[in-house]
Amino acid sequence: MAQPQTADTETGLIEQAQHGDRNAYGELVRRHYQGVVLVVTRMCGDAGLAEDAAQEAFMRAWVNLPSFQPRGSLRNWIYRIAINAALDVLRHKPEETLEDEQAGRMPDQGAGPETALIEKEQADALQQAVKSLPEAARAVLVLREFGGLSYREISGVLDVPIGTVMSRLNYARNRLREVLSSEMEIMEMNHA
Amino acid sequence: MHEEMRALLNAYLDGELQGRRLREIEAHLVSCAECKKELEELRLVSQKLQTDTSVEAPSAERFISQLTLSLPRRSQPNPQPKSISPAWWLVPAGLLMGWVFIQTVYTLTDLVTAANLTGLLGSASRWLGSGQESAWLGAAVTLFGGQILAQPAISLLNNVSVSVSNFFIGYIWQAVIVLLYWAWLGAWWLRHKRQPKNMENAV
Repeated sequence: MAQPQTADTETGLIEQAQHGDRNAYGELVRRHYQGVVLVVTRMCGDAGLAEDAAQEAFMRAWVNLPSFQPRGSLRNWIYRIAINAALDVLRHKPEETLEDEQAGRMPDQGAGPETALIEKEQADALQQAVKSLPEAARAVLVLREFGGLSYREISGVLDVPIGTVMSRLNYARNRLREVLSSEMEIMEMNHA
Repeated sequence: MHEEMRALLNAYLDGELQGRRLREIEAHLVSCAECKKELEELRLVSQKLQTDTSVEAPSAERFISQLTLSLPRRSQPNPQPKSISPAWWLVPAGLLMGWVFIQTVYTLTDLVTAANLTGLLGSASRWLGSGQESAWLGAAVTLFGGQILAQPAISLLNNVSVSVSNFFIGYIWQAVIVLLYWAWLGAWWLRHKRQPKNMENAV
């Protein structure tokens, strides 16, 4: 069945989904799925929890979509919901999901074995450092690095001033920089 | 200066600086090896994070099909927030005007009564006449005849009784207005609560 022309645009899809069209909502989910999964995975640091958080985020977005004003950015609105859903999932996670999911991750086989091992160690160290950041700083870092949002957009999503966005990002990146530097020093010592 | 510029390194890295700030930090980076090194380290952190391919999203199709199956029904599709009718605002405005009117009437009444008691109205007080009489005084006059009005103590009691009566009637009116205002506030709150929440509250 032919859809109205507006169905192709995000605004048209939003309108249809607001009227209860699940197919239109499915298309909206498809458009924002990758970004949301990336954001919640980095927030949760665990693939299983991240899937729960993504499910919860899109569910909340569906329930609250009628109140969404189409003049705003749907992506930013969903990211905001996703960040909150991830934090809620983290707060309610059972203890047994705390295991390190990086344990089973294999290094990139395309690179040389030594380079691949170093890269894996650095990536693991960074991921652990991201997980260890305070929630507020982690949310800003994730939205910037993985959501690709501008400072102004992050400020809107998290409802904090731009100055706060800058200071939280400074803290988060400097923390990761320290982790990466010490990781590199250890590796240099090991390989010396 | 160095610390101030250092705090802006991330904003510079993210392309968030413009104008004077941008020129200042670019000039600073030419001369400050420490900041330049830190900028490169921050850039490396950002690159490492963004090129980390360890995040493998589950299949979008499977996710969407599961999600659409479990989406709850929405009983009221697309309820648009209703704008508040101007009639809503007429209620408190009317109550306020009523309160002002009652206050004015009672203040004027008190002033006229006080002026009458002190004799300031002179012969003009005659038109006030029986309006100043309480029910008990009317009964007493009927019982004892018109001469009772000549008794100053009785007149004073009558005036006190009229003032007290006016005082309480005034308070009753004000209480009624306050109750109506609370009822309006309650109705407004209930109506506001039933409306769909805004974007920022929805999450």
